[in-house]
Amino acid sequence: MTNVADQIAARSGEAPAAQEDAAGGPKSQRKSPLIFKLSVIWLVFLVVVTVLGKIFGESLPLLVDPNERNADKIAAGPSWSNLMGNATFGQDILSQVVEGAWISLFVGLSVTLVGILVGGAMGLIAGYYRGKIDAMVRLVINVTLSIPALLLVIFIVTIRGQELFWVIAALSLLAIPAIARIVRASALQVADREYVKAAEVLGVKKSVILFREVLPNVLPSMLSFAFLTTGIVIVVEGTLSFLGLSVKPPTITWGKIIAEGQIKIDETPHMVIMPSLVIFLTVLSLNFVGDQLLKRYDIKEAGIG
Amino acid sequence: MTDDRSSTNMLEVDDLAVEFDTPAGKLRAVDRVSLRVAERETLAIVGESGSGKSVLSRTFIDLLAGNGTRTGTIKIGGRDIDQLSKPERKHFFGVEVAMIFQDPMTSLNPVKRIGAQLTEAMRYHLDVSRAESDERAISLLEQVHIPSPKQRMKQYPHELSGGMRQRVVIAMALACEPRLLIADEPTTALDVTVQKTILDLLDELRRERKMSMVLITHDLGVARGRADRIGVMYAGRIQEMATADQLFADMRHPYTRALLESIPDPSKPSHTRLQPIPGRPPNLLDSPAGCPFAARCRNAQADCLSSEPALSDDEGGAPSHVYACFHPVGTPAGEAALAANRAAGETAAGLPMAEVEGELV
Amino acid sequence: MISLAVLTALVALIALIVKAAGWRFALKRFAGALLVLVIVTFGVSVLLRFASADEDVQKALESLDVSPNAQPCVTALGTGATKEAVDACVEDRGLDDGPVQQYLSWVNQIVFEQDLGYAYYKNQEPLSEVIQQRLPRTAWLFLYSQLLALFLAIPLGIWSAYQAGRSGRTRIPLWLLPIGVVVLVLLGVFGGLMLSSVVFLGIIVPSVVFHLFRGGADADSATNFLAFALLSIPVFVLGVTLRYVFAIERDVFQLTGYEPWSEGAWNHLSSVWLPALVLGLAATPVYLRLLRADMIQNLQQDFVSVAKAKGMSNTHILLRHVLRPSTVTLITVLGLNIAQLVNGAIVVEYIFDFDGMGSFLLESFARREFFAVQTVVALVAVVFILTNTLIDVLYTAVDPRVTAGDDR
Repeated sequence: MTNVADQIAARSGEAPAAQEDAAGGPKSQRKSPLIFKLSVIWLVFLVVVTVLGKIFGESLPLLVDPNERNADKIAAGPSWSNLMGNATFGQDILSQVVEGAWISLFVGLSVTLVGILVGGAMGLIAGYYRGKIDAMVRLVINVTLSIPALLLVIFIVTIRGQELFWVIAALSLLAIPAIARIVRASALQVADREYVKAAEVLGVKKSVILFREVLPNVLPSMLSFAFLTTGIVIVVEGTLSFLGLSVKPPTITWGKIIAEGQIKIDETPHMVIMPSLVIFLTVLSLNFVGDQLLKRYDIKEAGIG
Repeated sequence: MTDDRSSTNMLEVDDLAVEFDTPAGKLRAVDRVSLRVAERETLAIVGESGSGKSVLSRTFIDLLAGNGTRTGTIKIGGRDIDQLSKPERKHFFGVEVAMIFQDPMTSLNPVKRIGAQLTEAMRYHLDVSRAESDERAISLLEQVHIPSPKQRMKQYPHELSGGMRQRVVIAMALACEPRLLIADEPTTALDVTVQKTILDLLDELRRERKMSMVLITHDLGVARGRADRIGVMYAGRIQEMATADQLFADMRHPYTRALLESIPDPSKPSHTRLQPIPGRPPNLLDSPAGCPFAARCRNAQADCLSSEPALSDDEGGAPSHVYACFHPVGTPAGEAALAANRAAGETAAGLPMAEVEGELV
Repeated sequence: MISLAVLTALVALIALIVKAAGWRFALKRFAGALLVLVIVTFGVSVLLRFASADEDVQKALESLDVSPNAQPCVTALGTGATKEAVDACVEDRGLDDGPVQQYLSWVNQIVFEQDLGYAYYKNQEPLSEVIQQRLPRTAWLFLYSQLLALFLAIPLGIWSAYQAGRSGRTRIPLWLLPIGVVVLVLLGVFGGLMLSSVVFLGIIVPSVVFHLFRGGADADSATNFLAFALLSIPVFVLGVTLRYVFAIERDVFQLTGYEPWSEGAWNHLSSVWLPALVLGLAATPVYLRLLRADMIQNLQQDFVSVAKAKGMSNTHILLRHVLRPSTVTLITVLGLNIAQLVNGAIVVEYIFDFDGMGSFLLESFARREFFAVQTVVALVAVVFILTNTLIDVLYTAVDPRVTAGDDR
């Protein structure tokens, strides 16, 4: 597991210092629309199911109370009537996964939002204004880089308590410097461009330039990193709950299901595999969408197409 | 038809065509080019960007992008490059024929020392010891007039100026004593003051080593005085080929004339207007029927739009001077065509004569 | 003790850096490093004061007549502790002092008295012993996993960069891959291991291999996509899954625990290989994509055409011209990874019952032994900063255009 910022960079195939991504051959561009569509479909599907599941709960078909124990279905494997099987005490895994999706998505999106707002602002200001602010931001980024990400999160959660608020806070503390670093690099690039310099020479106020010229050009890359970050946050949250350090029961999370399933993995492999599949597909889709957005942004930058 | 010489030719190209398979379709970058370069001769190929001259030069040493296909034959020193056996091929390029690229900044590997880059080809192709290749490299540097060659060997490319880098590139190319040198716009990326010295250097080396040279350039001025023969290229085809004297004295193709009119000539009075060529090069993905230059040509007539002229020579004139035009410059057919267009105010392709004859400059 | 060896290593490292890049650079770097170190450790020290406590500890705090700051001590010693023990602990750790004072006495204790404190306050187990015992294990884990990752990523990265520009000839659509994997897994779950193994070996593996070996840009995008998919699997999922897969042959594969070299090479390796495999597989796609991207960029440079024009073979060009400048990003990330390998170690050591520093950290958290954590984090930060400084210096060896100290 690599650190957050580098994972973001690595997912997009970039160097950590935000160099241009290398273009793939013409064929790879032709193929990607399909996987792109599939990813988007999956993500939309996931969100819809999760939200509906949260609102309507058991009234939806296929869903039952995720905590309800069903003695005659203990550790039942999946079948066509019982799509994901049952857990150690007979709970329905499908319902559990839907329930767990709520936490993962909520945490993922909240952290990304905070990260983009705070980290994005930091990165923009540091990258454009330079000077002392930039030095401070760079310091913050360097400090966060030196601490293993998981360690920091575990630390905060252990100190303050395993509550949703602190989980989100801890993860935000990771996301903010990571996003700040990337936004800063992007802002540095844009600040060097001639239309920005032209505006400065014309006497336009720097704060206006920031909003009118710099921000719109940094926005596309911010958007793609938002997707990538959400993916990473979901993974970290999953790891946390796997280790038992995320939100406490009775709240269900994906990591928790997997942790329970792996205790007697011979008997309950489906308990591990099902949530894993869902995590994998979700993170893959998020990564892919983020990566594609980044590539399209870069190509627009280069003036082709 | 094709230009022919009785002496042994260093380079023989027959019916060469190069096509690229792009997402937007097939692009014909080089279209049925044939040419000959004799021993100790310099052939200049002149054309604007997009004419296919760079692709052409690269195919001579079998450098082709992944999505390109080539048809036709290329013979260097009498040997067909497609018929080479594997061991022959290993030591052919770089040894029999060498190439110099346009930009000296990027032609050298930035992380390798000059000495290493010079000796690399020698140690790969020739059976020389390390010490010997180092010595040869130093003498090469001397031949290209680089001061303090011994120190240069240990330096990195970024420590040298542009002109010096191009000299190193030339030295590198000559390391294995090729008999044919291909120079793709060797001076375009250099300062004007340096350009002349580099071209002089190339001349000097060529004579000393008795090499043949193919000089690619967009600048007719560079070709004049440096080349024995000149080929003018447009839209992937050779439009005119002649000896240098013939070309400048007696040019036939309207494109050649247009090229000449668009470059400054110090012998003309000052403030003489330059005549740029209106329009843009044709889209090679979707080649129009007829002559590719018709849309921009002063002499264009109806037949130019429908069929493509083949290369032919003056009847009764020198067989070494060929051109592809139905209404060439300096011929009765051409004069008539020009007069007709002037009378009509526009060419058969709909180009207003005013644009093409300098009133709108 | 460890300290002597560590000290000499430190001095040697510093000497190397100074020799390679000069005094100014070294000074600048170390000043910056020190600043970061101080901030990190001070931050931890301050944050600890805000630790919340659960109810039992609160009650114990009230019933014992101790300072209100004694909470960490009560947690450490347990609710059944005596007042004397708690008072001694508070005194020992300076919990009644102000934040700066507490921090400074911690620094004093670590640096000057060379007392790393206790790993487990309750039984007074010294941290230095724990480190001596557990650190080598985690170190081996790191080493093997990174070696594996590089061993996989470098050849694959070079190969797929080389294939990237060439025309492919296969027609198998790429999107079949993730769908195929999902279908496979579902088959396995619904239809049993037999059925899915048959499908896997009979259809999916040959298709992928066929696809890859036909070469061309298709092979490159296939590899790239597989790397991408691997990236999207969380480490803990990978660990649990691989553990399950290899559990089939319990006798052959030792799944938990650890054996040092002293117990024999085979025992050592067989106890380490699985967690190392997991960590290595997790890192491989990252390195692969980085190397591939850089190589593709460099392959488009003119000097590659020049080398081809000189008649050099493709292998020669790839390995001796293009590889070196392309490793810059890789080296950067390798350095940055050091701090983050701890993350992976925590997860993997937990899954495989591997008593290394990772699981120690987890245990310390569980026992709320934050002082031990603070010390370990400081050590990690030191190693991290030193490694990265060294890597910065290494840049000049790889790419002479860069002078050490360039701000990236």
